[in-house]
Amino acid sequence: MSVNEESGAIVFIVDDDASVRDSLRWLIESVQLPVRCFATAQEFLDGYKSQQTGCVVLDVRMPGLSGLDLQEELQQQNFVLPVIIITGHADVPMAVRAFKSGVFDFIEKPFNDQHLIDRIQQAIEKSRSQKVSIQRRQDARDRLQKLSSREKQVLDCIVAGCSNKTMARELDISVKTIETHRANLMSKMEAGSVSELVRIALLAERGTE
Amino acid sequence: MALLLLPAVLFFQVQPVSAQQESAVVRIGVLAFRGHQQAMSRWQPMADYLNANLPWIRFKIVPLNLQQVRKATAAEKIDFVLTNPGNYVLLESRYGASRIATLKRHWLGHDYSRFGAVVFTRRDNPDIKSLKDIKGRSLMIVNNHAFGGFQMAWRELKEVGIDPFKDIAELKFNGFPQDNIVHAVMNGEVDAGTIRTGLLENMALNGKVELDKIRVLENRNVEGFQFLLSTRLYPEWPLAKLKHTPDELASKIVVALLSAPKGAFSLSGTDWVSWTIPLDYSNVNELMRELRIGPYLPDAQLSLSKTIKEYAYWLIMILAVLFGLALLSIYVLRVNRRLVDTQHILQDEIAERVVAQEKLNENKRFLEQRVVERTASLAELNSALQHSEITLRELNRIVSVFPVPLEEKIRALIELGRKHFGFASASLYRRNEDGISVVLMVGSDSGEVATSNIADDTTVFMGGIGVDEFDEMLQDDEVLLAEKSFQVDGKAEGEVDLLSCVAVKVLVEGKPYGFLCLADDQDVSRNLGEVDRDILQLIADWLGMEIARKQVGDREQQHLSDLAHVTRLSTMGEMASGLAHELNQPLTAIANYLRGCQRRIDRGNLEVTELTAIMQQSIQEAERAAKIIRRMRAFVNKEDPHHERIEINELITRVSGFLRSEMERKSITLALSLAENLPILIVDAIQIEQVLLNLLRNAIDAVNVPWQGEKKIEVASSMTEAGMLNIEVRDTGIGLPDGEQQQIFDPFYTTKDEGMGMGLSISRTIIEAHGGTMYTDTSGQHTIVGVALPQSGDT
Repeated sequence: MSVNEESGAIVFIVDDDASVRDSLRWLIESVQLPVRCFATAQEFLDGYKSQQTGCVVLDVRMPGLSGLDLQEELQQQNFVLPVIIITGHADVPMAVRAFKSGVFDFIEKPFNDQHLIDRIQQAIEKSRSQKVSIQRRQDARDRLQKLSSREKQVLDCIVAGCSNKTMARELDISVKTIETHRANLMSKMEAGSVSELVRIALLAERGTE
Repeated sequence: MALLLLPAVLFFQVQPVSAQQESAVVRIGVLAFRGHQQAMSRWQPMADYLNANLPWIRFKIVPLNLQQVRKATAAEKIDFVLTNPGNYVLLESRYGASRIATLKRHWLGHDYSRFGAVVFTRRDNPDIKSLKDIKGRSLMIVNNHAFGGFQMAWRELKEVGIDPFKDIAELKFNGFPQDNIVHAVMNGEVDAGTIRTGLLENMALNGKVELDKIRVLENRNVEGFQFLLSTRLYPEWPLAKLKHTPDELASKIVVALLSAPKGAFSLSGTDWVSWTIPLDYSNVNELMRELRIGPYLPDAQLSLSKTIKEYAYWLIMILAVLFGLALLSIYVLRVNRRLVDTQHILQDEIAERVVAQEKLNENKRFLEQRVVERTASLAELNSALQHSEITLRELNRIVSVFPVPLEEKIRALIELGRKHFGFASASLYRRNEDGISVVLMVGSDSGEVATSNIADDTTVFMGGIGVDEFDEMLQDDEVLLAEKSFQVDGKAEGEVDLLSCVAVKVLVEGKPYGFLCLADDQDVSRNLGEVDRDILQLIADWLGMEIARKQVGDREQQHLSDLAHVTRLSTMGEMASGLAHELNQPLTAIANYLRGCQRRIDRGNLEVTELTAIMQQSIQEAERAAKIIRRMRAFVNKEDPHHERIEINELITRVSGFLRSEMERKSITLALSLAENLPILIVDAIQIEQVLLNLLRNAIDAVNVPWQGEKKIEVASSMTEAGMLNIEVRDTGIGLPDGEQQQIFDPFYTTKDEGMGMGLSISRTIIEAHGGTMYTDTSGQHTIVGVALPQSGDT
């Protein structure tokens, strides 16, 4: 079992040409990357699970939803997997459109196999780190959810840099109560220090934007 | 009610007649207040006196009580009446009686023509000293109708505020004689009593009562009146004639009575009566009015005769109505009888009519039967017509449906003919170079047998008509439709030996083409009516038309396919990029397979079985690439340009014709401005057509935009001074971007969303291959794309 397979990263190949699809699988599997193939963009959309890490290799010219169309569709669905587009005859406008829609790379046929494999590896790496940060953000958000509304107010004040006294005056409660809330929310947020607390809080906040 | 009154009315009307008849007898009604006997004895002397003085009249005394007096007066049963003043006033007011004399009494040495009443009590009665005191006491009277015996006293009581019927404790009726009233008072039976004047004095004279023991209430002293008196005085009894009594008779009686000697009418020894001129009875009337009695009785019990008199009008009306009703009922009964009679007559008539109706029904049934029979034959005819109609409809459907390929139409027409006449097979025969051939054949059992160019030897037309005869038939204008039945010789077992044929000539563009022949193993002539012949002819006509169209179509098709070849050829460049992608696929696959293998070999984990499979895949991909290249070569197969002599204007017209319908659909006007006497060109016509097509198509696209106002395309041909033949396509479209005029001829340059950008590039290639040039001019209002071709050097 390879490292990639343990971590669950998969290379998704979407190409309507069966030979190209099959040969790509042959090539990519030679570097121990698990591969799943789809003949159409729709098939891929139906079979793909969003928490998956990995990357997508798309042929730009496909009947039905084209590679670029699919990429744009994925973008709208907040799809996080990096997409590598392979094209037979690239032109500048197409490339611009592809990069604008957030494609990871745009590779022209015929291509250098090492280049393709390198880009696939990099895409997977990106996917993985994206997943970690997403996980962290989700954790932070989950912890934030555990707070009572009063504790959230106290947290907001801490993030804003208020002292306990100011907080007590503003929220119209005693300093002692503020201290109790502080202790509770520190443990709920699993923060060892105020700076860690602020970091987690900001992470969660950013996620909601 | 009305019926009950009827006899009274009749009596009332009849009576006067009978009275006149008995005019010899004059009846004098007398109020007999003390019984008939007393009255007769009292008044008979007067009658006797009158009879004596007026001998031609027989006077008769009729004693009557109060009620009888009124009735007799009303009924005119009496001619004169002698009654008390109260009663008289009533009769006067109600029946028109009129007094002719007033009684005068000679009593106790005095003459009295007036009288009153006495109200008295015992002198020793301490309680009653005036009339007022009678209130709450008992009072005895004669009766309430008695004039002197009650009513006179009543008036005086009323005047002092006493209602005798309410305020007096006990009102006793004594009746006659009045002496008993006096006795009752003296006995203490009642507190007081009332009687007429003179009676007390008379009783005292006879020793029946002692006047000093009696107290007369309100005793009045009236001059010339000697008797005790409590009330006003009233005139004595009158003698009155009735309305119907003749005045002459009345005056004779008056004269007789007034002239009678004293004591002529003696009542008793000292008393007698005589008659004087009639007195004024108005105070009696007043009494009556005050007491509301007699004529003033408010709720007077109307006597029958009065009622009759008063309501006579209504009664007559009611009678008239009743009579009318009776008449009506009689009339209704008569009418009813007549109706019953009429009904009988009608019933008889109805019975007759039922019989007639049945006859009619029978006739109707007969007629219906006839109608049904006739309808059946008509229906047969109709169904034949309907069948024809269906066929015609089907024919219409076939010929009017455009998209069906012409070949299909022709087949459908033949099949329609076969089906309509119910033949087993239908074939289209024509003459070809070698002989007779079957172009198309449809049959019922084998479904459909379509053949073309069946070997000439086996072709049998209508049971063996030879080529010569066929040609003859074909050229003969007379022969439009031929029928033939014949024996088939030498057929194998099981095959039919009889064939019936109907052949109809098919003309194509007015020239004989061949025959549509229907054949079956049954007799043909069975049901080929006039209509059927017409239909068959019609089908043949249409068949001819469709064949003509097909021939034209075939020619066009050929041309189009030539054109398509050029299109394919000239779009080769355009296809190149598509080919590049196509070739890329297998090449990429092969490369991937090989590099995958290489990597596995490097790692040392490539299985031989795996490798075999991958190599197999790679070979397939290589073959795929080879195929693509072969296809490309096939595409450009027709390489050699085929030069021919053309008239450029003709070519322009033809090409414009291809697009005319499309331009009409898009509301684009096309104008051809063609110069005359242009030289003949020797070019590859199809290639030049392709160029023109290209230019026109670009022009159409340029003007066919939503905001375009005028949509106009002009094609012009001309000769230049330099000896070049110019063909220009001008459009009113959007034009070209500045500085890009020459770029339009570059490959892949396009202003269209779906364009490949190869059209003008290829066009230029073609034109240049012909030694010409292409140019653009956008300086004017129009976009002009032009072709300049050199004149062909030789011929």
